[in-house]
Amino acid sequence: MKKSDFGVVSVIYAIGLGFLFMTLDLPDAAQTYPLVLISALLFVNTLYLIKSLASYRSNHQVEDDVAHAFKEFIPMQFLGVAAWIIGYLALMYVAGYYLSTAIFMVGAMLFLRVKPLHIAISVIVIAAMVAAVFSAFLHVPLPTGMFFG
Amino acid sequence: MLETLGLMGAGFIHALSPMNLLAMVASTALGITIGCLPGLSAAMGVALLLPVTFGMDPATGLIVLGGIYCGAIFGGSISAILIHTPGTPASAATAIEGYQLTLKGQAAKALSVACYASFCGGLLSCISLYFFSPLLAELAMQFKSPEYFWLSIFGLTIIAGVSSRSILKGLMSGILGLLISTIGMDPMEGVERFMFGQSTLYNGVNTTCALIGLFSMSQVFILAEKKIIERAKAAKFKMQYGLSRQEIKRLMPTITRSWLIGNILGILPGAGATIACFMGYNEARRFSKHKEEFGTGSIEGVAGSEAANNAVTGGSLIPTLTLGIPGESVTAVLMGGLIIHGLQPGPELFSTYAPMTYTFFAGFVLVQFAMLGIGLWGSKVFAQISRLSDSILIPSIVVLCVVGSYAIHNNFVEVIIMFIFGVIGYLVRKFDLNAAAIVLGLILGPIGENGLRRSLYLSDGDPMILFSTPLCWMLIILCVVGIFSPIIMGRFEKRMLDKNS
Repeated sequence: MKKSDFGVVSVIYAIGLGFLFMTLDLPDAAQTYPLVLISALLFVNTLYLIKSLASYRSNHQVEDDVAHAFKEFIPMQFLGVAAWIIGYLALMYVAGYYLSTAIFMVGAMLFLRVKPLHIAISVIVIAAMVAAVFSAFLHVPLPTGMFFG
Repeated sequence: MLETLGLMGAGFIHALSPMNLLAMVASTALGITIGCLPGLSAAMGVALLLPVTFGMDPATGLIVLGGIYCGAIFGGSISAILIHTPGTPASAATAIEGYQLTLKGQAAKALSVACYASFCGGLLSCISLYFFSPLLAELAMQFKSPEYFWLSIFGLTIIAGVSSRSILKGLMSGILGLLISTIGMDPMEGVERFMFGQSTLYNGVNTTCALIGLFSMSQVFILAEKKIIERAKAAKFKMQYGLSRQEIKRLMPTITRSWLIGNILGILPGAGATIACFMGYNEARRFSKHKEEFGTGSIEGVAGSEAANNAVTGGSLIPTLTLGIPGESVTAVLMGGLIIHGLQPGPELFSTYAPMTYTFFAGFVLVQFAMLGIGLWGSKVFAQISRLSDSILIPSIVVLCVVGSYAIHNNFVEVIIMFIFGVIGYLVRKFDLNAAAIVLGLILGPIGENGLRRSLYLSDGDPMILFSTPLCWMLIILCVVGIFSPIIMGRFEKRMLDKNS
């Protein structure tokens, strides 16, 4: 049995039950297909739980796979990058695509200790690529943001 | 027959248009770039570039995706040979002999052999693509609603089982994908299902957003969690553009064997390029007259592995295009691209959309030539690119993920959906669930749902209609085989790895 099994099984049960409650609000005819899927999900999940418990019963060991999966995990770096991405999405909504992208790329690369020259080249290359492919070729109106829109 | 030959010819004429040629060269170069960067996969590249193809003609769009696919599979060999780090898992076996050749100062020869072997493997795989696809598509013409239902189940069982360490976790992932595919308007009753008040979800979760999130955004989190280390310096070399007659004579049997191996494994859903490269390498060693060279740098080892993994590309497109069963994550993403371009895998691709399909096939053939040329003449550049640091890749991939998901409908909500799928993809990979099965569930969900509900509608709710034809039973048997195939494949792969370790 693996340590992560508890979490995986619980999350899958939560998803299945969440969908079940929402399904019960649907008209009868629309309930059948989602109910088939939810039943299948809960059934397979229960099978997995039984298999995990059976494995625990036979060797009385819980393998710490979570520690293995996050063996090389660097919390500060990961959370820093995640915060930069979330900030980027929020900033894009306000400041538009190009400005927020430039700020994000410079900020995230400085955070990851990239040399200034490499940062400058990367920002120029990515901006030029996006402008050429998405703006000029695909004519995608990229977000201009609340201030510049 | 004559009609097919005519379509094949017309396909080549269309594929040779300047726009298609440009798309081919650019996408292959991009694919090689993605492939040679350790940590980036072919599936990720195809997912990331999917939105770029929206503005293109479907055939051109598919050629672009094919170019990225083939380029990425080949590109992995460059970093495998030069810095002993396979760019993709499909080049893991290439690193064994390729790097030994580099240490002996024969990097140029190793790269050149890898180029020619990949070219031959890929080109020969196109033969089966041309000949088996229409045959399988003809079989698919007999499918009706019950068969389509079982086909979607088969697709899920095969991918759920094969690419997961646990069959049950793979199945869970597949069913989760099916459940996510129910988000949006009910196709028969016309009521809103699980939309959380978001009108963007009216047509369901956008498959491209899900693909970009699951394969590309999740990779950002994977790269960001580890210590960023400088990659080894690539060895200096002077490229060798040709092979001697003696070398060709020595390599041809290996390449032919590996082509057969790769092609068969490609057609079999679930096997894939990683198993093929090890099998190709193993058979090259078994049949070699120079066994003593293996382990110290053998060109046959490089050719065996590279011809096999590239031969998978054409083969794997056969079940994807004809039956809608992608055997691995990259073909699942490719199939997503096909559907996004308004094309449904199946017999229609060889009747109504035959000109487009044959243009794509011809493009796929020409992509192999582009791959050879770019591989031979651009190896030095790719050798430098393969050293690109993850700290530059992380923000660059994020920017491309964001612009790609926004470009689909110019909708910011879809960027958020992509991000959510990125987080899901990261957790899925961390806890051994299966992203490819989720995607396949998402893609096959509507096909399966329509098949099931139409069947029940036609039979007044009698489920026995699902067991009423021999084809249904054949597909049910295949589903059972699909569930058990991972056990066999797993043992087989383990044996291969043990042999080569």
